[in-house]
Amino acid sequence: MSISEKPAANTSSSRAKAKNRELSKKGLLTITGFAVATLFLLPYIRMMFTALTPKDELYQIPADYFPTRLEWSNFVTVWESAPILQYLINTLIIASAATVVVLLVSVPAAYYLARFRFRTRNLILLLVLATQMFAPTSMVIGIYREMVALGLVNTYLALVLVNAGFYLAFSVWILSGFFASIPYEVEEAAMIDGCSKVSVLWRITLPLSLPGLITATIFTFITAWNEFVVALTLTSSIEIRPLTVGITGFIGLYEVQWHYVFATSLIAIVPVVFLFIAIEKWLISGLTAGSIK
Amino acid sequence: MNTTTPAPPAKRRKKSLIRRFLAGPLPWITPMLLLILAIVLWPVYEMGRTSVLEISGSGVTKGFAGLENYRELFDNPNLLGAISRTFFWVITVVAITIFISLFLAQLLNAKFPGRRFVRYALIVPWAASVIMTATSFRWMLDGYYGILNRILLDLGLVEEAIDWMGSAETSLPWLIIVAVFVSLPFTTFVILAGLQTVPGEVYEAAKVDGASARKTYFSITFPLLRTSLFIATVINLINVFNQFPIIWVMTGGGPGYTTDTTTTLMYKLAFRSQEIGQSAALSVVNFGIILIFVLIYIRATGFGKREDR
Amino acid sequence: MAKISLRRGAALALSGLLAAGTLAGCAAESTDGGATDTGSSSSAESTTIRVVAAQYTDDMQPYYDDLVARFEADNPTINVEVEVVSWNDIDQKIKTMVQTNDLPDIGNLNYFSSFAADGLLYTADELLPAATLDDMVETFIENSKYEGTAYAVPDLASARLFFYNKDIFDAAGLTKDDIVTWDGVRAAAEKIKATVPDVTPLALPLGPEEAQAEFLIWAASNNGGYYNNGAWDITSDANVETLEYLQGLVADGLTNPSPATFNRTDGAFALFAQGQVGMLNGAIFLPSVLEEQGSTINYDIAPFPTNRADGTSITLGVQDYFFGFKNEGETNKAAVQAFMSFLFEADNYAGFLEAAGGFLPATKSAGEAMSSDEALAPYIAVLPNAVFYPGAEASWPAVQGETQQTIGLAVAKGADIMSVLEGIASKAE
Repeated sequence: MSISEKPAANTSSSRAKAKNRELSKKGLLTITGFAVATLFLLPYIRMMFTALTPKDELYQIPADYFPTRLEWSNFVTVWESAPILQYLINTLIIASAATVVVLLVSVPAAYYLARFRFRTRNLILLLVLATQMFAPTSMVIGIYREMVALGLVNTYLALVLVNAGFYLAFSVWILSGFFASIPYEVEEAAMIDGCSKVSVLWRITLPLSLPGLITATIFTFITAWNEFVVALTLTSSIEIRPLTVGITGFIGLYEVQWHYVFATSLIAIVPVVFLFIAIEKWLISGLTAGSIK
Repeated sequence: MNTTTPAPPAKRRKKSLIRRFLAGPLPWITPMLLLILAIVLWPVYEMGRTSVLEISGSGVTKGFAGLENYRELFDNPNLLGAISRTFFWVITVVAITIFISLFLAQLLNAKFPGRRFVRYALIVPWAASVIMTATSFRWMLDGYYGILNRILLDLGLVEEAIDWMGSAETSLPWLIIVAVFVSLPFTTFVILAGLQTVPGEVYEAAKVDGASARKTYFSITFPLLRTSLFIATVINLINVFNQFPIIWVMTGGGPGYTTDTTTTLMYKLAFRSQEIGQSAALSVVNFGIILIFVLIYIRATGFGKREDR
Repeated sequence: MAKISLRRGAALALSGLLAAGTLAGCAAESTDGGATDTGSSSSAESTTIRVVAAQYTDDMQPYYDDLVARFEADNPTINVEVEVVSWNDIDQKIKTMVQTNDLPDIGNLNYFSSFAADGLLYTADELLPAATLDDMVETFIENSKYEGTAYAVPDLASARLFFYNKDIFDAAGLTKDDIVTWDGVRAAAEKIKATVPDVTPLALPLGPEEAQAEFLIWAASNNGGYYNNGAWDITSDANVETLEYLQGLVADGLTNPSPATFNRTDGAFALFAQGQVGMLNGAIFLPSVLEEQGSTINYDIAPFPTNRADGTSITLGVQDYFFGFKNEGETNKAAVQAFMSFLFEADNYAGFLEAAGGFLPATKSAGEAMSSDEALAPYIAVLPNAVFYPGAEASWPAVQGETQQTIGLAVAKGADIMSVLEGIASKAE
């Protein structure tokens, strides 16, 4: 709105025009928004249709937009052709446990780092940042060697610890930002009343930083859920193998069973998407607080 | 905050020591430090150690090799291409991601009907495992069975199907696109979060002062996004540098070694060429590169100094 | 003070970590059945052995599950853990296990020589009883030898033949006799291109999946190959000539456009099944692939086109291996031997071949049992002229790996053939 539209000319027609402009601006935004949304959903829509394609229609040249019929039974037969349920359970266990470990470890650390200055603080922060630079992929041999030495190959514990260790940096980052944004006076007041540091943390700080906690939880969970390379190397049995590795089973010697690959992918993706969407509101405020730091 | 009690009598010294310990940082940060030590640092040490060992083709350790692996690495004709490609890859992907995210964040920050749906749609690539997204793209870009060629043919934009993954010239742009695709959601939300911390009064004041939309953006909004941008860039730099599934699933670093980054090359050396020592050497070099990257970035934006405000 | 608090702090942290760890560990124990993970283990009561097996098809896992169940029933003191791994991953898996000294007990790969060179393997005599070994096809056992001793046993083999689409050939006015020589193939391809639109005359999969096979078929049909007369011969004139020939075909649009990224699995075989390919190098398991995909094409097989002066047509014999890793004190030998013998019992082995889907058996007796199968007859017939990979050479896996990655580049337009060959040759020692 430019300066020339001063209140003096606030007649009903100019108000109507302004309203029209608002509407068309909103309309434009909506159209753009939907275009963007479609673009982002395209690969998954295609995934969905391929998962529903009957096997004999998979290899078409050139590709068909849609299959002639929706083979919903693919979602049923895929459970039979591979132990998907077990993979799903494994993924769930590993991701959940890793998240718990991360929270247990990062909450106290982030709290202390946020609140107090001590000699080695910057060093510690740098160390935490540094660990984010290591990707499990590039250290897979080192990780495997370590797990053999500890006798933990093909155990949930190994995957839980690896996922927790590598992804706790982000949690510390976000949480310390959140904790720092809570005014110290609130905690000070509680401490004057006789609460210990731990008690303050538990009763006051944590509830106030729920968005941050949730954000950290979700992030860690999803990252562990989607982890591939370390799981591939460290798991050697169906009882422990997660979904990301299970999918590679459909890439056989002579053919790629695309319909099963994508059916399984969707089984892996859909719950996480819903989880994410459920906390989308917290996500924004979580990232907000984190970036204020 | 250390308690400053005066020197206690002898029998209570032990108790106060415990109290002083509990009051210090160690109980709080030690679990984290232990976990980092055990899970992150120990393998680093292992990689360093492996890089100076000689390991046979089948994996048996044959003894100390000094810097031999490093020499072989630098003699490797594919190394230079991988390194230059990695730099190009990281800078391009991160730059494009940040650029587009700024726009997307603005869009998501605006109120319009259906905004929630757009936000949800943006969440999907983030929630999905990169390997699955990359596999979907590979399927869509397949030279014979991919839907992209079908669309292009139907639209009359090409005369015959293009083998997208068949050569580096046609596949590299797509690798970049997919990397941007999976990085956009996170980056957009970080910037969106930053946008939402800008108090409404600031915009009000700008409007009263008669600032145009563009001026508002560049003079006010953008500077206030610095923290978010910094976080987003650093995290993206690291993630994209270490990115493995996209390239691996779509081109396998091929044809030959022409789409390899240092990360995929490192994997190939270890598991396709049986050169485990050389691969470990490359991991060490890899880490050095990313360290330099991040340090340069931190120094350039002077962010470290903002710590204690 | 710092020292004391460090120790206390460490104790605190460790207990916290352990507590968290136990939570996760409990889940593992309840589903894992308490199996140990560091190689085979023996106690007075039982031995556990680990098998890492290749995933030929989806049927392998069920097959092994059933086999193991029956074996353990017969051998209550032996526990067997079989892990079926896809071909994409099995190499990495076994390599990592070797590297970290966490050897499995039995491995199943398409090579063995590098392990033999490092003294890691049992000999074939230690794996199977003499009767079973005698039953094995001689050439396969010969190819399981490293420096004169057999360190592995063949599990199955494939032979290859040339496949062509009869309908396309009819449409182009071609017959089997037109594709006996390389010149003939070129002429046929040109004819197909001219008369049958939208079809790839010759499929050339030189992608990483099995480029080493594709290359060897063409090269050996021209008296080339990897290894001749006791020495590596990768940069030979015959190989250069072969690649020049293929390069010419690619340049003239007679093949798929990018051989270097074209595999058999989702490329050549799939296209052929759709009737989009005129001719290609096929294999004994191609018919079962076609059947799996519900293909309705009309195809036939022919000997490989040859460029040899004497007109002989070769076939490529590819065998995979089972081998046994020695452990400390060789305590797993009895269990390994028991399991391997059980697998090679006639019925079990027949089940193995069936699960793998259309391969040639490694044993003569199984071969006889299957000889009435007409689909197999032409392959068994060409076996005498089979060329094999130089599996006895310790550096063959490295050469194979490099070939898979780079040989496809050599047939691209304007490629420097010699430098690609030299790159591969540099891996041979």
